[in-house]
Amino acid sequence: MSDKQTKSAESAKKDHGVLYLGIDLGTSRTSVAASNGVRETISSYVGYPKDVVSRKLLQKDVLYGDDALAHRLSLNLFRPLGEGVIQCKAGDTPDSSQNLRAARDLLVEIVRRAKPRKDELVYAVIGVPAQASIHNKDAILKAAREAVDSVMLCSEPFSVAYGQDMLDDVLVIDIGAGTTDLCRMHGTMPEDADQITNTYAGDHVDEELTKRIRKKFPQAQFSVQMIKTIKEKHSSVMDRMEPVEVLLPVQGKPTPFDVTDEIRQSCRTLIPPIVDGLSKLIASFDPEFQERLKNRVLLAGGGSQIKGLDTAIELLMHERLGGGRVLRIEEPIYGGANGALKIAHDMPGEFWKKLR
Amino acid sequence: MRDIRPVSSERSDWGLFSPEELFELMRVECTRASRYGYDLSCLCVSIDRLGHLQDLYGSTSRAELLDALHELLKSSTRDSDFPRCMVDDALVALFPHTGTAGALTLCRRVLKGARRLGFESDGRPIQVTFSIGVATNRDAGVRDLESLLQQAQAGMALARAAGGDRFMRQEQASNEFDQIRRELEDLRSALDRQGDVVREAASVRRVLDLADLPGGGQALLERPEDREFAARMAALFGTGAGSGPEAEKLRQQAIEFALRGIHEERRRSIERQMRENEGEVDTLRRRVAKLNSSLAATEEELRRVMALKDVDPGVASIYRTVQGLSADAANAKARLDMLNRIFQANVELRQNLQPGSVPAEIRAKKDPDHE
Repeated sequence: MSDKQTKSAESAKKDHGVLYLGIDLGTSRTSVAASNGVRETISSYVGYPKDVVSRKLLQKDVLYGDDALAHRLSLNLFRPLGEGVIQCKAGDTPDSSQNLRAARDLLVEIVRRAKPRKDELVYAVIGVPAQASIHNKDAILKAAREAVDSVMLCSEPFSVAYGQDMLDDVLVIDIGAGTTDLCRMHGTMPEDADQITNTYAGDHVDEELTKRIRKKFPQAQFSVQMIKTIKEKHSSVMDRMEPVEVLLPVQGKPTPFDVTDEIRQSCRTLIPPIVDGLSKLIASFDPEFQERLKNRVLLAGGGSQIKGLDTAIELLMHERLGGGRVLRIEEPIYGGANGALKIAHDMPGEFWKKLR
Repeated sequence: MRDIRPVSSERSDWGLFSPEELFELMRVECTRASRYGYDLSCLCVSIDRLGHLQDLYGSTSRAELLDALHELLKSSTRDSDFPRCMVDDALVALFPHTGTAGALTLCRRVLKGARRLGFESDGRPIQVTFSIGVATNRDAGVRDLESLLQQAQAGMALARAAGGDRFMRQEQASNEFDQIRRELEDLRSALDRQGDVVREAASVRRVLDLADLPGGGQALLERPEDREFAARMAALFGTGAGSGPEAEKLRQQAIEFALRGIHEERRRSIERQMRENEGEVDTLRRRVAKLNSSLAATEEELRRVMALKDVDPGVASIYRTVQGLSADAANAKARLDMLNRIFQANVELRQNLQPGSVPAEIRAKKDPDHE
């Protein structure tokens, strides 16, 4: 089968009129890498004007990303993806349909930002969390149907590994906002047993940081968005990190607070669940190749930007597993999208046509 | 549209309702029209260069102009009241039971009335013109009040961009856009045809240039039938004239003389043909130059309309030599197997979600050894 397909793919002519997209539909950010060279990322927020007055003020029916966040007081704001999947349950509840609509609009917008020509077909591979349920996959497919002509879903950590050309004996850690996905690659398509998903991810760090700051500085006023901004700017797990002093209002007056330790401790909460997951995946692997697997751990996703995280994971792996080496990918924001684009490009053309 | 307000809250005919209430009234009207299936038009009218006029003639002129606009619209319509309000500096009004034809008639009446408005400042007459956007509930894409207003405002923006003193419908602009595109395509094909003719004419010219007329060009002037002619002349002299060197010389001279005459005649004919061809080439060159400038103007117009309509042409995909995985790629076999499994997983996912909607040939592919 493979030889025949390889030959047929090789002999296939260039199929003009198709734009391939790799989309990383994330809880915090949605990124796209397109075969026309366009790469875009937006925060996964969708906002609809609350009334006619705000509609007239904003001059738009839908706002996306940072634009939506900036005008959130005039908007019904949605973050359609939670824990990496569309926030909808079985059945047609109002919340579900609104989240589905927001997800669909978000996909339409990210496809629009990839600047497809009007005469081109759009084929997309969308990365979804490793253990997304069939219901959630259905929701993503429904959302994608209006935006693209043909769509395939694939596991996010797999797309990261595919993009890095590391398909053999590799452990991928993909830290997003909603979930952290761990995936074991051993030269074939990963199965359920090769993948672990937990919710110790970016949002968890936000919650931890909120709790710790509220406990230590009860007088400080802040919002989740402010906490997220502080985290994204200063996140680190290093013992010797630069002191982090932030200005938070107290009774309306900006007041400096030292949150160095709070940030460090909050970020460190990610490490034990990750190493737990790694241990499970390594221990259940062929003993002959366990050593090689330990030394090929790929750190990806927005969470991989936490300073010192790779070294901290290595240290804990050393303690629990007797060693290990963690490699950080070069482009954490576009790692998933780049891999998905590569899959889209490599996919035989006949497959795309059959899934239209 | 940042501001929604009545022109003057003191006036009884404007100040009865707040802007929100006016919009609500409009929405009710719109819903009613949709429920009972009658026509509803929306006009969005703005005064051209209002800011400029205000700078020139003072802030009171602005209020006067807006009041005049309102009065003109009232006087141009039937007595019954119609919901209207000011949005920024544009007057938005709904006209129930008024279809496209009626709305366009009203627009013409308003534009005509605007030209008759007599304004003066310090004894100098001020000429005022309006830009009007029209939309009706029968237009494509109009579903509710918001989309109706949006289309009317877009029409107004187009009318303003086109120089003002006119009315436009977004639908009409789309048709014009399509018309320009069609014209552009026609021009392109005409240019191609003209280009073929020019190329053909140029090739004739090249042949003539190669012949290097009138100094050379023997290849064109001397033809095979000349030899036959010379032989017949020789035969004629052979039968009629005597022999000897004198007769031979005379015969040669007669043949040369006759051939020179023929060649001269041909040379004149070719030169005449060349002049005609050169004239035709020149005419065609002029025609191509005109078509080129027309094409450039049309393309410029197309770009302007595209910019006006906020059309993004997009970025074309950069195509690879081979679509799909190249056999030369590292681990090609394993990767192709993975891609196949992703495809199968997606097919199965669709089958699980919508049984019966997947073609049988895809189901057959579920067998990995299929083929």
